[in-house]
Amino acid sequence: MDGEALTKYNCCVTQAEALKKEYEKCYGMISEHSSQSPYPWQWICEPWPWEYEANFNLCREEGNTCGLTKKY
Amino acid sequence: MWTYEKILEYPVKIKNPNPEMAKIIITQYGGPDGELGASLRYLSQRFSMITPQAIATLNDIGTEELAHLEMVGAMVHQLLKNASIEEIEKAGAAPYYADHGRGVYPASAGGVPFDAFCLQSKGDPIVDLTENLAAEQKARATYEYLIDLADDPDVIEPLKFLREREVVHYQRFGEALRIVQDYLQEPHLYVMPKPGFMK
Repeated sequence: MDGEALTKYNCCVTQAEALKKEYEKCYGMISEHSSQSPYPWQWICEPWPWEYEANFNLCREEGNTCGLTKKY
Repeated sequence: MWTYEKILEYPVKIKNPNPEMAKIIITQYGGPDGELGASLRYLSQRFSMITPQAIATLNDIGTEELAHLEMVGAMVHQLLKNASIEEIEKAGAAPYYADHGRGVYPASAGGVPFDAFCLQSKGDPIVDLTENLAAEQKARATYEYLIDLADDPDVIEPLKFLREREVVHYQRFGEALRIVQDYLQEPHLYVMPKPGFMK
């Protein structure tokens, strides 16, 4: 068993959890079962992943709290 | 079971419609070496696979192929969505349009509907893993041909990502095959001490 790889894996899991939370704050729920929803129910509000309007370009701009911007 | 994540594995954002490209990229949705066949192949083979590593590899890659199916579907959808009838006709996509409009239907670039004959689940771990090595190489070659035919960076980038994943999957299946071969060669007769009355 490669202990170093396992440590890296666990580290990536922790990082991914935090990044998913940050993403959801800006763009809505990723999961229908494990994401929190603001009122009203958000799941069907944001564009679906296969639509052009989804797949936002990620970029950093001044005054943007998330560091992420929707760009169409 | 599965759960859905409302996000693509790699972003697809195609500005310009191109029915000609849609007509050929559809082959990685429902063609002979496409993602639908890949996911069904691996997810079906799991049931008779041996060794935890090889089973996990099929489970994991079979699941990822479903994410790739979604990406390819997204590409076809975005390439067709705002295409005019004139563009569709000019691209030779009128026969597709007649049957499917601007929808996404699993078929090959030549218009042959998806067929499970493009995959095998043989119940034999060596047969199945060897098939998968070939399948990953066939998919890699297909993505390279599609990249040859594409000129839009919005199309080329996701195709490059999908090609890379085929290379990674080929490596993983190679490891799984080695693990299964080693396991089959190990002696499975376990030695135990002879009881006194047999001496």
